[in-house]
Amino acid sequence: MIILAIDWAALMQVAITTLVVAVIVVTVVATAALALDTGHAKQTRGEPAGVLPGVGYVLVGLVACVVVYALYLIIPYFH
Amino acid sequence: MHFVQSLSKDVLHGHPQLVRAPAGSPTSALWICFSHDGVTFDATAAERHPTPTPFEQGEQYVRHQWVVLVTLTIVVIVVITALVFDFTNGFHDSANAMATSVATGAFSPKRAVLVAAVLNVVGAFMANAVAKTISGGIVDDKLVTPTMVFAGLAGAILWNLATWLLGLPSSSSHALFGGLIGAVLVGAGAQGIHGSVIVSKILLPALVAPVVAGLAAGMATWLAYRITDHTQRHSEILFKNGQRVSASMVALAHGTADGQKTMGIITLVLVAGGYQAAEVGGTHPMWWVILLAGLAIGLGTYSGGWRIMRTMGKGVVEIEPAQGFAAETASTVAILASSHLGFGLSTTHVATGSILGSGVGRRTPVRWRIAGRMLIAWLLTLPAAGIVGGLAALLTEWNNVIGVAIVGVLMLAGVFAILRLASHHKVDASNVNDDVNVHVVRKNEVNA
Repeated sequence: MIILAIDWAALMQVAITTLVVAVIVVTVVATAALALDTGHAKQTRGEPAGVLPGVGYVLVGLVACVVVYALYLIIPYFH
Repeated sequence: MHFVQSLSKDVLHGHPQLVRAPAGSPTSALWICFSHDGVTFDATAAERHPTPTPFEQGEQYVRHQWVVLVTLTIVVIVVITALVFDFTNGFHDSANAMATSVATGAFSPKRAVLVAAVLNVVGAFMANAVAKTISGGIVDDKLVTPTMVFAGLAGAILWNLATWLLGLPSSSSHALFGGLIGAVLVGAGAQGIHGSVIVSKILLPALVAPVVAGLAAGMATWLAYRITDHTQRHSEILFKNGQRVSASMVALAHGTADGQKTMGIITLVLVAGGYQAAEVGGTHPMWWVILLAGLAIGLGTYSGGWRIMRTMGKGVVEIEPAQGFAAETASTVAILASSHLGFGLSTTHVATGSILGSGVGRRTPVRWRIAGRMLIAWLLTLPAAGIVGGLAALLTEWNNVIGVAIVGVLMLAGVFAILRLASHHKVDASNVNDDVNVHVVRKNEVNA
């Protein structure tokens, strides 16, 4: 009876979503930081930074989209 | 002049001739005051009435002035108590959103609580849920009277303050449910408690939340430290800004979720007292209820709950910006996932798990002793708030008037005693990051 009351599918969904999304978001931000810092280091050495800053900003933009989606989820008006 | 809309058989149990509960009768029939042949008594009194008279649905009744006065007084007391609980909910959970940001300096302490408070208020005002049940099925809502709600709130408030005194995060929702369970157990008996719902909605999530959030935060932190040199300029800036954003989202989500819990309780008590009409499918809170509940949780958040902030930001583990960002992100995702995928997790358990997990992920020493004390506090939340709620209900159900007065006085005495104890070793915005321990008695005496 007690076991039946537990929504194991929802539990697994929450667990997997949390794990996957958190790891992806942090990885994207960390990669953006790496790209920006490496580009910056190259520039200070007088070398061309190439696509690195661009990659960094695109990744930051990606995370910004995730933030907007999260706001959409939080704000009840949209549902 | 009022009309009997429905009679709850549960309220009037023991008198089958009074049973007039139509299928799907609203929980608004929690408290019915009626008169017959000039005699006025309330539903609880009806149980003690020697020769209760059958009632028909739609029958007219007049509220005796005394009953009106008592009802109004009790409703006012319950509303105020619910707002006090809302305040303690705010200051207890301020740390969930802001502890890591305060610890890493992403936000100054004062700015952190200001941002969290404003977002909690905004979140509470945005919440548009209707009030359906007080407990979400944990107890039998048909059996809950306003005085039981009051007893439950008393238990929750005292437990929230006691854990705050010790600097321990614990779920405000669990404290409230614990208080209600205790009150209903005493007031209505064991049949009022839904054991399987307690397991599925309280106990299991309490075990799952820190594990899920901790794993996510641990893996994310580990990766962040593999990918970047977090001492570099852009990394530092990105991680700190990321922390600010994710902490703000936790605060906003908290406002929408916890703000409306109190609004729901107040609304259902107003309905039960006859001061608001019940709506089919759930009642909308009145504007002043939304305003007061939003402000109460906002003020509570702004007051900071610095003792808990210290434990979560400094006590369990030292936090760096990259790690704080990973922890906050894991918390945000877990909270949003849980509220949208149908398996509710407590913000407190999620946030604490994330912080612990991020410490493990960075391979920095975790103060397991403090973590252990938190775990004990979690385990005790339900029974402790339940015992206080139950004891309070013994009084309030014995006599709605004198009992409520005694519980009110005892609760105030308890609140002041705890505040006095806390003032011996104050923790506030100026010293929140200065120590890893929250001291209660003498500085040397308190465990490391």
